[in-house]
Amino acid sequence: MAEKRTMTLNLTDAEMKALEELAERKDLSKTAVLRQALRLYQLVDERFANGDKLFFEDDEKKQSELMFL
Amino acid sequence: MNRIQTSIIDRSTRQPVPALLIDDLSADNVNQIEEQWSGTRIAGAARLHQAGEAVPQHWHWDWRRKSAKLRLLAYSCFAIECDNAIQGLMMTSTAKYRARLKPDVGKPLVYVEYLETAPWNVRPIVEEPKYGGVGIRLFEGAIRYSQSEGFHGRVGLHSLPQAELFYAETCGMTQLGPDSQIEDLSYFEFTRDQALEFLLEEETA
Repeated sequence: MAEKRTMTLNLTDAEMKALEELAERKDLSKTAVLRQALRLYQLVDERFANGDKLFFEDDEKKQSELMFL
Repeated sequence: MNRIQTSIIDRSTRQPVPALLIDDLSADNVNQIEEQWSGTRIAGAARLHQAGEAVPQHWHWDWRRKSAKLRLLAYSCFAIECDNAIQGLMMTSTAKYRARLKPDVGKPLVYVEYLETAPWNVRPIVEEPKYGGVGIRLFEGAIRYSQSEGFHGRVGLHSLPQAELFYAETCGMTQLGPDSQIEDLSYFEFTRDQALEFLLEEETA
């Protein structure tokens, strides 16, 4: 798999807590959570750049929330 | 690109032959592969159509139209190389779908967007395919990629009807049925336990 490079990341306590909770919930390492987040951010950002919009739906399939990044 | 030793089957001798699993292909790599494949694929499909025989459902695939996704981190492309030619190609996504099967519902998986064996290895397209076992080696690549990403070998995909038997029987994936969101294609998933069992069997084979 692709070669990886190391970096130091400075997070606040709240950010670290959120990262640890996500890692626990998704059963991922903290590094894997951040890599996954970067992929998603890039993917969504490109769609926004192309003029697309991002909606979340509730259980009744009603468009309920427009998201911006 | 990284290269990992593997093997596929030479159909003329029915013996395994060394091959390489290559990851991290660029869009240019993929476009070049399509240039090498498209003639055989389209000619085979045309011949089958004229003869009134079933045409492979992926006959219209064009990897040049898929490769642009590789500029995004979420997408990766893998290939099997043997005999100085690419014998199979697979594109995956790691940010599109989440696991549906217990005990990992909602957790990330490697989603196989496309998997194709080179047209000269597909029996309806050619009468005497060169190599076999290419698809299963690519599928193994998806499992190992899933493990390396911390996804514990979880893999998901939507299958064309003609490939359902391969994913259910050869790969041993769990079939969850048609997905109305994806043209009613059948959704298949591989759990962490299935992945462990698969890799254990590969190591002891």
